[in-house]
Amino acid sequence: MDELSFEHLVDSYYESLYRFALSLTRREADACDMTQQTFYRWATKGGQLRDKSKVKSWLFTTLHREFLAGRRHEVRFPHLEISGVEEELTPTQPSVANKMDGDSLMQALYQIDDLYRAPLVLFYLENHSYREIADTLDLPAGTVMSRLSRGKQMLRQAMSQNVEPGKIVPLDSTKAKGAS
Amino acid sequence: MNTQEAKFILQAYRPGGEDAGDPQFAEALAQAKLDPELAKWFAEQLAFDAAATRAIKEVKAPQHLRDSILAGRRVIEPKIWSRQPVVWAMAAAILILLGIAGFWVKSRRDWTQFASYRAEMTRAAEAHGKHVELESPDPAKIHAWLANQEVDPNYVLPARLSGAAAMGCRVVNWDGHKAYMICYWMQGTNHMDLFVAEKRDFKGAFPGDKPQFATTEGRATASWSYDAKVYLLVGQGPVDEKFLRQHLEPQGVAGVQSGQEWVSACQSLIQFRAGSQNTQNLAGNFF
Repeated sequence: MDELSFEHLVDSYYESLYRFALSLTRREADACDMTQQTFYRWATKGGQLRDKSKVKSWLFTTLHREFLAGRRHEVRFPHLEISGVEEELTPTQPSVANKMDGDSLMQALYQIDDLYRAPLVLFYLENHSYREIADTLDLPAGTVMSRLSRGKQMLRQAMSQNVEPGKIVPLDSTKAKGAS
Repeated sequence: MNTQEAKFILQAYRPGGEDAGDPQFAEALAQAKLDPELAKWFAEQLAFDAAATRAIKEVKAPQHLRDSILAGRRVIEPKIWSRQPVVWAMAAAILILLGIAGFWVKSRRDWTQFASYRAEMTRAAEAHGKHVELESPDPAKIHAWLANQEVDPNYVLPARLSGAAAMGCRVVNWDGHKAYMICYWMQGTNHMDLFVAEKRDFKGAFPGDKPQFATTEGRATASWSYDAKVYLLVGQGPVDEKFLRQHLEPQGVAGVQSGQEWVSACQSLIQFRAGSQNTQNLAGNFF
């Protein structure tokens, strides 16, 4: 890949990758590092990708693998079925959506377990479909739907808490417990 | 599909409508059109998702990130070995050195074959119970006898060797090939055995047209090639390298000659080699 096309690729995806990395790591420095590392991987190994239409998927998959590789503890990924989330499909409060901005959204996302945060962020980034999310995270499509459903519920709850006037939410203590 | 199942599926529906054609959502979308409560819930979901999509894009990457990535690319680039002239030059140098080394190794192996031939022929000249199979000084007879042995008898000699008296010849097998030996009486107790082999029988290197001198099995030897043949001259008795050099002048070659005067002397020498006579006087008569 020549310099111009590489630059074009960076311009197309670096911000989305950064947002995804930030949602995973919660630290700007780590997110920058992971984004840079992803493009480094592309520069050194991206030529092996034969189907160039899958560049976006390749980049996000690589970033997610970098994140997983960097974690010290192995995380189990439970496969939630619909029966386990039915009762959580509660209505959305319109006021929450109206008051949403980038900072409040990220703060709410930080309170969600990694398990649900990754598909959720991909869903809101670059219009990833549930199938693309499944490819990126190497998950069954049904599992992606489960996590999107439950993740959105968690996000709404977190947003509702965060928008209450005067409420301070310490991130560590309010981090949602993922299913295990 | 009940309402809860429809909600479950519609949670994965993107707010921009990109999934409208996905059959996975068709039934749930159809149900949302028929169920006002579900439709309201779905509309609120889409509004929330659209707000979240907008909000997440408000998060900006640090200013330096893009430049860092592009700068990193330029650091990575020089490491791509295939684009580095220096690396190519080093690779070419290594290939050349490997080629030279391979040629050197091959040459050594090939010379080993010739050295083996030279040693084997030198021993053959010594070990044979009967030195020659055809006892004759007559080049014509030698020529005819060799032809009958299915070897090419058309050998040529250096000019000064052409005056030497042949005593006879025999065929020698080596490494699955045939060579032949012609014994020449020279002077006093000196005689030399000339081995003639075909170039094509040597897989590797053999001497060129300039004689190579060596001591093999304690004997002075000289070897050279001419046309299609490889010659090996093995000195017998007191014949040393100096003696060989005196009889291997580089200029010209000549066909085998014979003289009636040599005949008796050579025949006597052959008898001497069988142990029946002293050759000192015979040699004096001949040279």
